[in-house]
Amino acid sequence: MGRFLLRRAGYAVLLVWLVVTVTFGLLELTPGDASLHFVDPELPPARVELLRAQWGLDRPLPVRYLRLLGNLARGELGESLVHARPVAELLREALPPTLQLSGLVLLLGFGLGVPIGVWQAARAGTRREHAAGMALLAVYAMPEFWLGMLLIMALSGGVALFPSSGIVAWNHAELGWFAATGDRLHHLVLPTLTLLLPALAWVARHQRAAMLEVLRSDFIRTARSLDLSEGRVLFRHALPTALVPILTLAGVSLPALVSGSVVVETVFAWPGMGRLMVEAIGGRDSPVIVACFLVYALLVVLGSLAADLSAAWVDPRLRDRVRR
Amino acid sequence: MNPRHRTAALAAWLAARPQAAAGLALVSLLAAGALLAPLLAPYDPLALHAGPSLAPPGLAHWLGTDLHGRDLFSRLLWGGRVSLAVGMMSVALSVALGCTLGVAAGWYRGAVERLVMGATDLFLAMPRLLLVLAVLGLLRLTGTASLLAMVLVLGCTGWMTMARMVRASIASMADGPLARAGVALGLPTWRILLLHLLPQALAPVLAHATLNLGRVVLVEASLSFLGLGVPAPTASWGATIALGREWLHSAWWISTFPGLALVALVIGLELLGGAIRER
Repeated sequence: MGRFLLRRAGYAVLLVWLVVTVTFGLLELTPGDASLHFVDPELPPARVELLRAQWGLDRPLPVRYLRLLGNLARGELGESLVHARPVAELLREALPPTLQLSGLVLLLGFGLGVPIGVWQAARAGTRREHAAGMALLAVYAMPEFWLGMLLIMALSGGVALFPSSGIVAWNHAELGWFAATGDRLHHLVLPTLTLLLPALAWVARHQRAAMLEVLRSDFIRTARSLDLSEGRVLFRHALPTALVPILTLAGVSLPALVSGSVVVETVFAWPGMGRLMVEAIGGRDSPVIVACFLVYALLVVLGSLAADLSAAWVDPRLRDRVRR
Repeated sequence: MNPRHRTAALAAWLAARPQAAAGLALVSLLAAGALLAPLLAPYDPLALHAGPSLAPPGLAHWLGTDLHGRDLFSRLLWGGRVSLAVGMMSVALSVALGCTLGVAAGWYRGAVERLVMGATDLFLAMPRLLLVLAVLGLLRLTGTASLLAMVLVLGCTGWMTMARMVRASIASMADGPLARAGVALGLPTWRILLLHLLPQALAPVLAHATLNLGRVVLVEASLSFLGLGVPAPTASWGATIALGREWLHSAWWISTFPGLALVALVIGLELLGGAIRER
């Protein structure tokens, strides 16, 4: 276990370093710097130089790169150029709404997608399963921002069943605890549905494929020939085996969800990481851009670690890999 | 094979797979609409006041008009060109990269293989949408964003799975009779790889490329939706959907139809790609 974790930690550091370097390179390769965007063009050149010195932009490239790495290693994310506030503070505000949304989608997506996939595999070839498969494919093919707009049209139009933007109502602060929680949940419905439907279709498709593959294997034929009930064959024997690849999928889908929420957050004016990032790129707010990519890289690392550990927990054959 | 036999074989393959045939029909229909846009479009897609502002779908304007009176059916046809061109060019780039790196890793092994597979893992961990977003957003600030940049970034972030597939099948054939016969005949290595081994590995790559095309088209639409795609007056599906955002409750037709076109294209590609994978 110790060596496994050590190796993973090494991999994590490598990945984070690479992501930071690529982001830094991107920011360097595009012409111009922050002084072009935040400084009044009427300002005398001497003042502009002073500001650039204050931001450290006048130092040579290797110095700026090493300083960035040093600061990040010490956990200092710097200050946003646009908001003039510590980046850590911005992240503390933006991360919870995004994690709330993607966590809920992850939970519901797998909670509902896995049973649907199992049902599809058990009923493969029937007309009803075929129709369900086509419906799931249609949902899978929808661009998320368009699906979100359709839901707004349908559920937030004439009769406004659900709010179409923001995370809480304007009078949220005046509500009691009970009403405030209801208000939060009310605002969560449409963004969650928008991210959930394609995620659900994606999980169901993988679960169906994994399940069908297991159902073709020898040990299932043996189980059936022993006259076990179909329910026992499906849930006791086939499902645990078919869940291993799906667990891996769950681990890698957290970062995918977070980056997928960029578009959905824009549609629903959701104040999360996606919006923070889109705004930071639009304003060339380099400390915030670097921090967003850093958070993303950490999510990748944590997701794949969780996937490996949970796969080892379900599949005894994989345990050796983790123990060593 | 004789071309006529080839057509017959394709027809038989499609006849046995109604889903693949439906997928091919959908994709061909949309591709034909995009390709023949200059002939089919009833109006100039950029012409302002081709009709009244925000006219609902009707006989004069089949899919209605937008705020500026531009004909949305014409814009739909022309917008398909952007989606398909960006999608096909970047997938072609991904296939080329994936095959080259996969062949190199599968044939040469050792250090080359470790390097390529390491790069594959790291690229897989990179967030595709965020990366494209960052590159195009930063280029936009400096006024140098272009279709070419979008194709390059999308192409360079989509080769990993194909490289893995090609590496696996080349490695499994590297000691096989086909490769050894080539070596014994004294063929140059590039000929063995390119003309004899790679074609054997292409079927799953083709399936993956077809499926990937659908995802890339969706990413392109997302970028146009966020205002980072093709520049403003050019018709594109994602940008038209974004335009309709302000009129969701009064002019539903603006966003609805380009979205349906996207869904139809992706469904078609999924059906086709799925059938190729199953063979």
